[in-house]
Amino acid sequence: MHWQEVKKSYPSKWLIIEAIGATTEDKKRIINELTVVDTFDDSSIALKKYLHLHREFPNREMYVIHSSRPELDIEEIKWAGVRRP
Amino acid sequence: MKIKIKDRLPFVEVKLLHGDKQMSLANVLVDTGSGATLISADIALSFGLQPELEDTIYRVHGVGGSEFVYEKSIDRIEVGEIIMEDFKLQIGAMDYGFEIDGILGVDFLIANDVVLDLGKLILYTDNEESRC
Repeated sequence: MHWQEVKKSYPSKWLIIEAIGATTEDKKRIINELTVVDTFDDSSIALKKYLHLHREFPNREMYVIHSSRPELDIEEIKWAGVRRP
Repeated sequence: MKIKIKDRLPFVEVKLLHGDKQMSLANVLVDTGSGATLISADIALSFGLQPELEDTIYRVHGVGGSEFVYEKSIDRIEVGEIIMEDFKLQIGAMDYGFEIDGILGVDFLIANDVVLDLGKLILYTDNEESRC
């Protein structure tokens, strides 16, 4: 689905979405294709569910977002990451 | 502020205040490889800093994968004698496989003219205005 379709199908909800097709252009994350993993009324519960899913599936690109958001405006930032002995 | 070395990495204690809540985070990594300051989502939730509609959101991408973070302003952050109010920080899963409560990033370090003395293992500021 596209974000505008998601907004119509799930009005006024907190969502966990997963990017299926995405690219990065000029520090913006462009999500061309996404699926809705789960829906919630409360953002704390959505975040807790996301944390659980992220721990289980660290390679899936998921976001917690409200369906009232006009656009999927996601910035990409770099982090070197921690290297431990 | 004393720096403690754990697993060969530098950690400091950070105190956060928001609304009527306060908390000391014992394991905050001092990280010149991170542009932003982060706290873990579990800690954020205990301060009532859950996601809201207008939050700026990011994808943090680097070695070891990517994760979603959102940005919030916290009433007060204290690192020893250095204090900042209404400080913007990012909130993420921070599930890196070891005990870490947050990351003190370059944004905080530069804003306060922080000096890291890894010989004496202390973090301090030369800037009078940053001190409490």
